[in-house]
Amino acid sequence: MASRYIVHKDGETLTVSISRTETGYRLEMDGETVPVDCRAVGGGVRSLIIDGDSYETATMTGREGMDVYVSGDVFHVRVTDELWARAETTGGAAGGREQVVSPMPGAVVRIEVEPGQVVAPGDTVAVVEAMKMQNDLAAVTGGRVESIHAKPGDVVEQGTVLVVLGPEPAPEAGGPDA
Amino acid sequence: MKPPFQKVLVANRGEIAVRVLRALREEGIASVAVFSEADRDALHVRFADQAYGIGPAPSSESYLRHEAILMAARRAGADAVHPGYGFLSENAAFARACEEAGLVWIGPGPEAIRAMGNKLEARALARQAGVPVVPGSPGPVADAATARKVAAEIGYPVMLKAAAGGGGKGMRVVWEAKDLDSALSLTRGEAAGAFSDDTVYLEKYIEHPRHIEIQIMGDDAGNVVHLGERECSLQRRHQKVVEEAPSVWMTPERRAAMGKAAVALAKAVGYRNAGTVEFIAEPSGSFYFLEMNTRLQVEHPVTELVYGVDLVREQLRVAGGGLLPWKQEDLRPVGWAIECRIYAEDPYNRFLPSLGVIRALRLGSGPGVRNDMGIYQGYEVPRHYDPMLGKLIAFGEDRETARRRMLRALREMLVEGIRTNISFHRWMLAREEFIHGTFDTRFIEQVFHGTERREDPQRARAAVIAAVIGAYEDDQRFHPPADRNGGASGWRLLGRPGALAGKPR
Repeated sequence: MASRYIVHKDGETLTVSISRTETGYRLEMDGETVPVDCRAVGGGVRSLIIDGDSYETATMTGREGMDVYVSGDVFHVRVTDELWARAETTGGAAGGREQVVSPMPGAVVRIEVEPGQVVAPGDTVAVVEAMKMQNDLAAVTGGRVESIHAKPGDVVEQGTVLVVLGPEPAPEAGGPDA
Repeated sequence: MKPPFQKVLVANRGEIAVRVLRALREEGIASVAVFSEADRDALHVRFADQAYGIGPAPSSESYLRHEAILMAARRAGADAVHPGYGFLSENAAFARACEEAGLVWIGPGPEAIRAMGNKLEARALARQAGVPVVPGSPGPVADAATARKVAAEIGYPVMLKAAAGGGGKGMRVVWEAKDLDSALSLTRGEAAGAFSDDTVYLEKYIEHPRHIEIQIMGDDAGNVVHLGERECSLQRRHQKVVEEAPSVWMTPERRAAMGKAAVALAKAVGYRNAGTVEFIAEPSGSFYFLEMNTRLQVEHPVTELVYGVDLVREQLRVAGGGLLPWKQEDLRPVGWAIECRIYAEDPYNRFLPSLGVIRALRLGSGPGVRNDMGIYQGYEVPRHYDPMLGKLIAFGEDRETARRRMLRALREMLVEGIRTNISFHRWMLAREEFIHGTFDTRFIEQVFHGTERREDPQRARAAVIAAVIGAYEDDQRFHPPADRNGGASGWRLLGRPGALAGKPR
């Protein structure tokens, strides 16, 4: 039975369905059927042969998607399945909320926001020190600071939530455009 | 030849400790590694004959602790210390402490380290030795009036530098006279804060500078030779990223002149062992002394390859009182070598360090490829130290051969589990400016904005396919078919890692 996934890459969205075959997988994408000869060769690395072209690939799941290594180059891709895509469009779990997490183990140097503050995309929210470097962690989508979960001096792990941003309140009803 | 030492302690970690341990093994000299608590699993521990813990993870409590390292040397019965680069390698007090403890310091004498460690003293020594220095204030600038006078004489733009600064810290460019006063007080304030020393001097600011450095080597008999140049202009935030030898900027006349200047400076301070004199060079061919590094450099392998020498072996030899095996006229570069520093960092996310476990590792190999690495499959990159994992070096009979080999070796290199700058190197080495060698020290910051990469449509399509296969196999692992019978039940949603936390893959 085929499974369907939504792939986001460079602002484009693609629906791909995938099913197993004897030597690997069959994918349906862009109205094409793509047979893929696939071998797992250890350590998360896969050898793919696609229409005679040979690729070495590996995937690494991170905070904002998946890093895909392809024969020396690295691509950034986000994959969701249909369930997730529905949750996203109906506002469910996502709900316009952003978690700013530490991308690495380290020590919190500063939290640069206060509860209730509105943060724009790209604004620095926190500074974490690792490998002797101070790393600014910025908001991606931005929003209003809902809660703060770390303080200066805290030692944090990769993926520790530092700050949660909620949606900015909708404009008051009855405004000029209402 | 009898080995100069019985047992050498390597006071370092990472790839450089591995590099020095290799030379010791080849020379038949017993070796002692030291390690912090974070480095018990490190490669250098296993490459050494003996290993001693020297304290907790922070380098201030381990690799920088004089007594801990001297204690390890005493317990192991070492008769010499190799400091590598960084950490205590340019610490005159530690070099002296080693000598007082009866250990041979494999490096220059403490007095040469001290003199060259002070930028103003080094500049003055260079000037006395007839080495060109960047036009500027003869010493510290006492006040704003003096600064204005000197700047007017040498012409704008000028650069303000903290005397105690280094590594790109404590410097400020001033483009016009009207900005000088405020820039001076800012630089002074920063210098006082960062280095507890607000001494500032002023220099001409060089446009389109290249960073060219000369390797020198001296022995106890006062012989000093140079082993040509390394081109280190490709830098990011004043950290070198790619180095090569020789340099496209170089001509035989320029090499002879720079080599002569470097040797003169080394002789002026009675220098022995390996050292590097850094110069800033203009397109016109003028060059000026920047500073001297009184230790082995990170990028020493490119010199080794084009001169066919082993600098660490020669360091051991001259530290043991041996004479240099070469005369200047014997030393001629052959071929071309390029080095890429491999960092655990994400070039597409502001070069943030990337930590984690290396799940899969394959190094490039084959003709003309050398790896100086401190990593292995299963290694966890510790957060306490510099994110450099090691260096990949390619050699060829000419620059283009070396470049293609490097691209090929980068293509072979696979580091899975953490992010690295390998794809950034592949992008940069394919640039026209790199191919033609037309770059200066500002090249990377001018052309790389955090998104540029090689985009091959075939590979991009393969990436989508690989991502879907990866997601599918993860799902199969976490939800074997038997569990999937519930279909889109809440149980399945709960079981999906990250689904409720709002984290798409």
